[in-house]
Amino acid sequence: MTTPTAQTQARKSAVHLFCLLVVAVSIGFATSGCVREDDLTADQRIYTLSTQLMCPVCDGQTLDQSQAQLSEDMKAVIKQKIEDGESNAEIRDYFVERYGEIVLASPGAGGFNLIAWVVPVVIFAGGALLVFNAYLNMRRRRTRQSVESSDDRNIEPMSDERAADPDLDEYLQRADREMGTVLSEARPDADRRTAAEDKE
Amino acid sequence: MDQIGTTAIWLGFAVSAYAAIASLVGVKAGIPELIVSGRRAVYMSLLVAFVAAAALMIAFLTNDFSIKYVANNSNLVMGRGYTLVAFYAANEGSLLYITLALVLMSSISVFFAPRRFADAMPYTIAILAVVAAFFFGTMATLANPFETQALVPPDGRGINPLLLHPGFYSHPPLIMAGLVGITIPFAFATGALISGEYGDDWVDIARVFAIVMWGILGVGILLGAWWAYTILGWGGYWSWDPIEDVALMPWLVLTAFIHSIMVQRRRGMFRMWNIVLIDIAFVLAQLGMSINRGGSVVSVHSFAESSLGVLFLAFMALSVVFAFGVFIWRYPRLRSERAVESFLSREASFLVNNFLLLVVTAITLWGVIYPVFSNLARDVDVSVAAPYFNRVNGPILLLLVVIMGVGPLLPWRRSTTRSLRRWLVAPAVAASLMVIGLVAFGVREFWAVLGFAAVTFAAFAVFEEWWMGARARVRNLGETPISALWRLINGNRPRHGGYIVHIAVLSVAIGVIGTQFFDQRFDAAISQGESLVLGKYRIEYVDRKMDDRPDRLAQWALIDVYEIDASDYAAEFATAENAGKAGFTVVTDTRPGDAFVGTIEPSHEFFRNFNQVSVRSGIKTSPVEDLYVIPRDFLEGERVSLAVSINPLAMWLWIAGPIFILGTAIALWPHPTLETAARRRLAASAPAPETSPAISQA
Repeated sequence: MTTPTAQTQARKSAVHLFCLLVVAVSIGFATSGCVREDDLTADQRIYTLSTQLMCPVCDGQTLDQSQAQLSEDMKAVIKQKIEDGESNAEIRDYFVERYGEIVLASPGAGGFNLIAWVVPVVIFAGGALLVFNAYLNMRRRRTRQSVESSDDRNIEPMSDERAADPDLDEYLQRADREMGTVLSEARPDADRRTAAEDKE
Repeated sequence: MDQIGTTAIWLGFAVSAYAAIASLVGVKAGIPELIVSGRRAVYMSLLVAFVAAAALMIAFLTNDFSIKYVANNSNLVMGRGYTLVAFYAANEGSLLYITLALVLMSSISVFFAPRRFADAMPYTIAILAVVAAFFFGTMATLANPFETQALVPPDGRGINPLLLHPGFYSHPPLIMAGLVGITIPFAFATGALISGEYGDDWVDIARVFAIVMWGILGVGILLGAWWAYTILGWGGYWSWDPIEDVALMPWLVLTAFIHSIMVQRRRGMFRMWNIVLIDIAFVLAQLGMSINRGGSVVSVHSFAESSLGVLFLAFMALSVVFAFGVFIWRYPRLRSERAVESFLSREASFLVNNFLLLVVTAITLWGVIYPVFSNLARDVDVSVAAPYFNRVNGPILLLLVVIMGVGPLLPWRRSTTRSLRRWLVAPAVAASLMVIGLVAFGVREFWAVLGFAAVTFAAFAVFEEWWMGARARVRNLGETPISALWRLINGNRPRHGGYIVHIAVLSVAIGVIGTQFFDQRFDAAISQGESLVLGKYRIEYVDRKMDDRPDRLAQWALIDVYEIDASDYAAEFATAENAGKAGFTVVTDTRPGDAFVGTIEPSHEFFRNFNQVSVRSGIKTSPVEDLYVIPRDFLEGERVSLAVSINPLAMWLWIAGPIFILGTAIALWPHPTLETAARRRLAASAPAPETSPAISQA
């Protein structure tokens, strides 16, 4: 069996680890996919751009996937513009001007399209909070359960002190709810009757 | 034929509707005969679906072009082997196929449902039957595959050329069956919930069918990737296309479900959560089928496009209301008996696994609907494709791989840091060695190094389990290592089957990292007598073959592949690098270091009826890397325009397939029931007493 301190320590380090991972992923969101143009050859840049631009006449295919003549022409334009010394961003802007935003394989990270990038972060962070909260709730319930099971009789006197302490009050209300469920589970007949009522 | 088919479909609708009504009335009014009758109506719907399918099959085989669907999807020259593909090649036929798959799986599940589930059975049957009735009804009224045409053409239009590939025998039917099949675990879970059986009786059968559907869907997705890689000439295998996404999302949620259902099975926890998961999976499957019908999103998979998308969307909305309505109604009764005791426990790791899988699902869903959202909100069309998904989902998938390594090391209930540390040593050391090795070999891509480290970590976590478990058996029971490992796996099949699936997922991860971060690409046109050099390969364009058929013009490039000694081509490599190119072309002359590897024949087919090009790539594959050649076009002057790439570690994507199937099969392999196990033990103890001393020693 484990000592309580070891348990607490273990829990703490796990929580820290979890927070660390959340931070790491957030940084990952921010940095992944960063392309340093200077390190790339012209061919690699054409390839990179052709994965970032959609073929305007094909359904849902990027330039490098599509077999259409237009994509070949667009790649030739990209090649020309790279030779003219334009940056990837300038080339992308050129195509956006001609075909509209739909030509970009992923929405730009500015203006309205910021929503597209913020929502995933919100989903991740919100989900992490929910999980953590659920975990804390379960822990709290477990601690309470062990108190209850250690002495079932102490529930009655405790409910008399309900008004004394708001924290305790909330705790007791939850305990009552808990007991209600436990009782109804213990009496299957009553349970079925309510189930039948629910149906009607 | 068309009358038989249409009648069967209407009959199917009637029988399914009857099954639903009879079951519900039977259980409400307490008429057992009616419940039995409802159950038999499910079997009856299977029979009529078979009749309809057979009628369509015969229509195809007899070239009955008076039926519109047959005329549109086959012709006289089509190989008879492709009749099966033509069957589900477009909207109406695929609906019939889906219906057949649904009623087949419904019948099997109803037939094998355990006796103790009998109270909830009528509700489950009603849910299954309502879904079946929806499909039969849609076919009967809006998308009848047996619709006739007055003007019978002499020949049909032919099958969509992109579908002419062996992968198509399996990829679409598996995806469709997997999606519609999620109805079954959903029906069992919800049936139990409605009936008021709050216990865990539904768990076993829902788990079995969830794993089956999950396996079918997983194999279907992988086959689709393989098909895209070998035939579509994308050079890629996964492009986060909306249709791919809507198949992936239910699979991810089912992955979460089959993990967390184990917690309910073992510890009676996560009851509400499991219902929520199966509800989400069901709704996402409906979304998948709706988007498959076309309409709301732009996709490369538009083969079954029709106006039915909206109808399916409406059915999905009803499913949401129903599924979550039942959940909220029963919510107060769904309390778990126990709570997670420690963050360092298997339960908690499943919680984190569920969280990550659902986050990937939610983000993917967001990416799929964002174009629609943007259009509605500001009337601007946008695309959301691979670069977006790679960036937002990549880090989370990486995290999932890490959790995949940590989870198996954690025991149920709780662990201590000390024991965890002891278990973590081997995987952590292996992962560190991997990082050091990669960096030493000059790999600088941060995310790739991190990815390989995570894969190594997770793989060693599994190997450690097997190693320690087998070693303990060898020491204590005196078994040979092989039989020890076998018995270890056999002793807890769900667990070790799961580990084998983990290995398969890691294999996919290796392939993804290799192809995403280290691929090389060079496009050029070469004429006969010229070669193209990329990486350590020289490919020589030898000859062109041609086959001019009524329906298509097919051309192959005969290409010889050589492995070269880079020092022979030092001058050319230097020039190419200066020009910023990955490869170069040369006039063919064999140099001393060249070693012939083999011949590939990438092909390029133009289909006249469809004005469509279908490309098959030439692949020279090895565990290290694939040389991948797509003939983009055959040009004048016997020149061919090639897209050549080197895709490192791509083979591991496909190796994962058989491992995945093996693991799933092991996890599903039924345990003997208590009675048979006892009988077997009784029988075994009499003639073979020599085994018992060994066990008692342990």
